[in-house]
Amino acid sequence: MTRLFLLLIVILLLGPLLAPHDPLLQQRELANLAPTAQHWLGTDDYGRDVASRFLAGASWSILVGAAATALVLAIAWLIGGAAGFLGGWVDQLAMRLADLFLVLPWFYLLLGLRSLLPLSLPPRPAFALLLLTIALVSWARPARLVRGLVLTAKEAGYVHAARGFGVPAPVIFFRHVLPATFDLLATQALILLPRFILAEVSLSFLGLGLGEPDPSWGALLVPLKQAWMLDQQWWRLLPALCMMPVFIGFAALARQWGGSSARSTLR
Amino acid sequence: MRRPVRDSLFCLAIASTGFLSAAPRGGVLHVALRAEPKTCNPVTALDAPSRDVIRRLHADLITIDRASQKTVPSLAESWSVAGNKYTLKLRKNVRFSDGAPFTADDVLFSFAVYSDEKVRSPQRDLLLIRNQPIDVRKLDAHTVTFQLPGPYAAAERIFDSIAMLPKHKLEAAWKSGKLRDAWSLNTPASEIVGLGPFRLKEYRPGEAVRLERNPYYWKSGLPNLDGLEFHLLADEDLQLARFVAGDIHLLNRLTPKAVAYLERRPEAQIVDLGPSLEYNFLAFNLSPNSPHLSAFNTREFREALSLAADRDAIVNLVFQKRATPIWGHVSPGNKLWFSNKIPHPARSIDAARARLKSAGFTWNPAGTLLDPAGAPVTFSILVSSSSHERQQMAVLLQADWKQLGIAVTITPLEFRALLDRVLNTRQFDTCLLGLGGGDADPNPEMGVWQSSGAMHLWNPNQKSPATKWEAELDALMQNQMGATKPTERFRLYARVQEIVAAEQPMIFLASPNVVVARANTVGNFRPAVLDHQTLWNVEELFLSKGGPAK
Repeated sequence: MTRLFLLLIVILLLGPLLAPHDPLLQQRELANLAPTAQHWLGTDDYGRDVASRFLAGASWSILVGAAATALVLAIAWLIGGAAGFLGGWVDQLAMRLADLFLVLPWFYLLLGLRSLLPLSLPPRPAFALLLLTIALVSWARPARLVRGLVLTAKEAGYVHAARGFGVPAPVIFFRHVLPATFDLLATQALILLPRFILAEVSLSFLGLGLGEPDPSWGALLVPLKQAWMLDQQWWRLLPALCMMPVFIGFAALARQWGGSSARSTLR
Repeated sequence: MRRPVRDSLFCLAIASTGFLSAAPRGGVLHVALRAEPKTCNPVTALDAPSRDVIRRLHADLITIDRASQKTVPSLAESWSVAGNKYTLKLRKNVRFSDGAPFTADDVLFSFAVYSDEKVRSPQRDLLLIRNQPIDVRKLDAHTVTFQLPGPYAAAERIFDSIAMLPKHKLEAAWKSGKLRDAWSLNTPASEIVGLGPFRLKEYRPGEAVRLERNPYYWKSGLPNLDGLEFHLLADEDLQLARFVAGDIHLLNRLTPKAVAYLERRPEAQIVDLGPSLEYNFLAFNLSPNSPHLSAFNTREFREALSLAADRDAIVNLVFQKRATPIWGHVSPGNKLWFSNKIPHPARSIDAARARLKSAGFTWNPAGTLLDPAGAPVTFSILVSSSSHERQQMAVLLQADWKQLGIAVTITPLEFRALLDRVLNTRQFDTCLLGLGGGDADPNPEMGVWQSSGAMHLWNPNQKSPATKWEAELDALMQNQMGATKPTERFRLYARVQEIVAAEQPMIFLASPNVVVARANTVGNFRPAVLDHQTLWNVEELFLSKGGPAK
């Protein structure tokens, strides 16, 4: 099951290469077509192939989601790890900062940031900037989890032994304490990655994401806002159905990973 | 967005409208607004949402009957013309919505305010004839004369756009130079008084504007409704969902897809009134501070973009064939003023590229268009985030112009923010908007085509015309305004159309049909092509309590 899911992710990452048509090509005489052998998911208002746009949008969504996840976990790992290991005022400062970031209304922050960006900024850099901003304000929760784990790890017998043998503190931190958080980070990655992909979908759906003509998953869902759409063009639901296995797969994988890591901890 | 449109209170006495259904009184009519109004001040309002609300709060002296498109008495019960002098007899015993009497002093005050250069009212352009103001004098408490500085065609239509203001409420603000700040959305409702069928009851920011019946309304027995509520629904999908749920009674301009959806609903009645007066266009920012001035100022560049624009695709894909492609600003729906001499060049990418080449534009090996100075040509299109159709048009244009090697960015903005950029800060490259619908006559568009106009979208409020052709436009608009022979007026205005179509400061794209819908419980529903299509006779509308109304 896991292998199947990972294969699906690889396929989606290679999406632009697998797209049967140019995702930007407007074949205006073929607008709003129902699915055919040529156009598996039909065509959109401009005659663009929806399947190609789905595949091309997938790699962008997953790559940006992965970049944001990596950034969040890197920040969380360092801040949470340092807070837990050093304690004292560093811990206090880091946790108060985390409290502050936890209460930030990221969506409104994002709206404000978007209005500050110049109109002429190309959509991809503008959108990547926005998503990275979300990432920067999302480090607090995983950082607290890392801190908790580090607090436990630094009291472990092998850490006391290392201290007794005179191993320098930085070495203990990087070699013996932080590795104890790897399972947690992996689980968090599996939780955060779909969350950030979903953030992209939500932002594009609301018109704040990747602009036209670039394909994105959120933009494919925009027609569903129209009350009459499913009444007249049922196939517009297909991209949403195609996205579901990705999110379900991430959730299942996170649960599986979290379970196995909990069992390994119990042993 | 629409041009500075006219106030539209219908003034036929109820006795003369015997065909109207017997109207039960009471109830609140719920309608939708696509954006939040910016002001309740009729002197400064430019945006359609503000005007939609304001028109229900105020009245004018003479109005254009939206059904017949002819002028009919309103607050002036009659008028006479002697040369260039108009004498208007005001109705007696008319009161503002706070009970204060309406007299000739209010008329004098209103015209003084609208004509005041410091106030910068969009109506001011209408009231200047050859740059001379109209001389307004009071003969007695209910008689006013208007001495025009020269001949003025269809002069009585001027009054349609001018809401009468209460001197007792606004004189202090005017004298202290703060009239532009008066009657904002934060002003207490009791301070905003008018002569319309309704008065402001409450404004709930981001939610609704509620009006209540004006107890002093001068049309006997009207309005039929107790209230009128404008719901702020930026998205047409939301409007449609609320309409189907029965929360909204009228939909003013339907998109073709919405029509297809509603056609299957028995509780809704849809009326297609045919071609509208609205013209959708892309306007360039030709102001001196425009970042792309050198390219935009090149006529061949603008022509090339127009040649590459696929208007048929806009009509077919955006409007589902319920529209007409246009190359000038007067739509074929305006049968009185449409000039058939405007050329309709066929779409041609090759011709567009040749036009660019002739003006010194080149292409780099990657196919990117370079201006004569060698810089890549890129620009953004501002478009209202609440207009699905205009966003679709922008996507089609983006693809069309990509074929010329131009990278176009589409920037959807909330409508008020868009207007602010276009009309005030001028921080934009191009914008996709729509105008038209107030009146078929050219005079209300003085502010659009005259270089000094606030709505001269490509370069507004010019001290003197920036180009020769704008100077010619100024002269033609002034001359047509003074021409008394209809044929001469037509000739002059046809020339205006030709110049605008040739110079292309705006690329005209399509004119959609007017399609409206009502819930079957709304009675006396008589939609019109002119703006406001469904609310122009709001005082006559009623809500049926038992079954569908006629």
